[in-house]
Amino acid sequence: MEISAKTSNGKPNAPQELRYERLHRPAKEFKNRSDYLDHELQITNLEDKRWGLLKPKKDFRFEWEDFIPAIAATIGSSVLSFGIIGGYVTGFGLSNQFLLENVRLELVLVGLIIIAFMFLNPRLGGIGHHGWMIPLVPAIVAAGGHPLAMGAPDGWPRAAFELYKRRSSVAGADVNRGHCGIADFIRR
Amino acid sequence: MLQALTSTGVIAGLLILFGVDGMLSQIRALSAWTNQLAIDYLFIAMALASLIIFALLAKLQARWAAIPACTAVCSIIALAMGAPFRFVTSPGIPNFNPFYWWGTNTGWMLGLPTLENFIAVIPFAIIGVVMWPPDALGLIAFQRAGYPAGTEKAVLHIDDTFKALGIRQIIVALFGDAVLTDPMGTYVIPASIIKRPLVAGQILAGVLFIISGLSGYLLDIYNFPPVVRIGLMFGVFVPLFEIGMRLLKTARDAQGAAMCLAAGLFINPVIGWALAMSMENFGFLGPVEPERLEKMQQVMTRKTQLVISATVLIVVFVIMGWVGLLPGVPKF
Repeated sequence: MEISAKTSNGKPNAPQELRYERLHRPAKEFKNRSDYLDHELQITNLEDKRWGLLKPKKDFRFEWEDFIPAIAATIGSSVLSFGIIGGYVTGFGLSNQFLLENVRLELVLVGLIIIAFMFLNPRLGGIGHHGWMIPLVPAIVAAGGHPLAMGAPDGWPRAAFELYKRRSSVAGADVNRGHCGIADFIRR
Repeated sequence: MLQALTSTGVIAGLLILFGVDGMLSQIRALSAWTNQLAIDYLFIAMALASLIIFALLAKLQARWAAIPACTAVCSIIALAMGAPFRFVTSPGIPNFNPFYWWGTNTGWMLGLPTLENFIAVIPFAIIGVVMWPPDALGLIAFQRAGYPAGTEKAVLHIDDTFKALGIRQIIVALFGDAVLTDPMGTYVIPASIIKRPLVAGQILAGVLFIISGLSGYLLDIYNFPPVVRIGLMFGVFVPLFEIGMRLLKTARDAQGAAMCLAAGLFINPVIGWALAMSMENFGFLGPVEPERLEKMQQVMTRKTQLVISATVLIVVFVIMGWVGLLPGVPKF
């Protein structure tokens, strides 16, 4: 692999070498599409652009394949929004019309947030919906849980934890314990 | 810390509990919908069709396509058998006014939360925080499996992702939206399989989210019961149950899981987790395994472990009793 050789033997202090823009080669130069996509992944984010501003073509590019996960995510996330918000709406006895309006707000807002974040940091693993919590929503409503009260503390401790970098160490221990996630099951 | 205190077995029990609970609630909702429509054979037709497609996708190793494929087929079956569907939501811009959503007579009709509301949700917020590492780490494992060698930097960054999620959660909650957030598995899984990085596709996804929200028509489709119920069933709860089962490696894990499940069903899931977690740390289910003890000691001392476990258990019990969610116990 030319690229891995370059990055491991080359001086890490030479940012020129690590620029996506310089390393990118057009798809025509590769034997097949799969090799091209492999190469694209290998040259992605070599330069640390976390919390920088990413520019299309300079730092990443769009391919038709990107539509596959994008469409899957749109359907999946919309369904999850209906699941979570629907739980609250049923619990509080509000109308279907209201549910649709709240999901509309959610989708537009989160769309804007994702776009903004992805231009700032290429290593964010998605800003999605906690579908696993859906069975708990009726209990949250029964407990007198206000959606704003639930949403805010759910966010604050996370943001705080991350700022103190605690989570990585805990998560590291989990990796060794062999935790797996929504992901592994599909692979069999 | 709470994550370190929770053993694999207890986490597995929690995931299994939510998986089963979720499946049952989706099935009940779908069955209520078909009973209301009084169309014979519709329910069983959708059940069989989605199960067969789900199995086929497993065979083709394309289970990330479960939500689109199963929901599409079930919707077609439902429409073909005469289920009514109408577009009722016209295109429009959402109401961005937080005062509308959090008004006392408008939106959620709840007004702003009081201190009591915040205390009431503490146990649920804890559970949310405990549940996400299995999810995030799973996504990383999936990216590593799908991507070629030399792509460590294309894999998601845990700290950054959760910083972003925290900020996102706070923004949308303040705006009036009742959603709970997590990493986007529905994006990362297919992206890993077709070998695309996180960035470009998610920008496209963001654009598609906005289009869906503004169009209104797409919202009606997502809200059609076969779409939302079957989607949640096969996209979330069946996999969730499977993940839980796969975490169980030893007899000890199974005991922890069974305790969590039993207490969760007996009382409620939050109590189930807190009780099983404390029992395990106090050695009620047999002595704590040496490897786990060692790992926990990297984060905190043994005494801290016990103090935290006991405190969490007491806090959770008191709050649950206070909000009236301890069955058979009058609200304090």
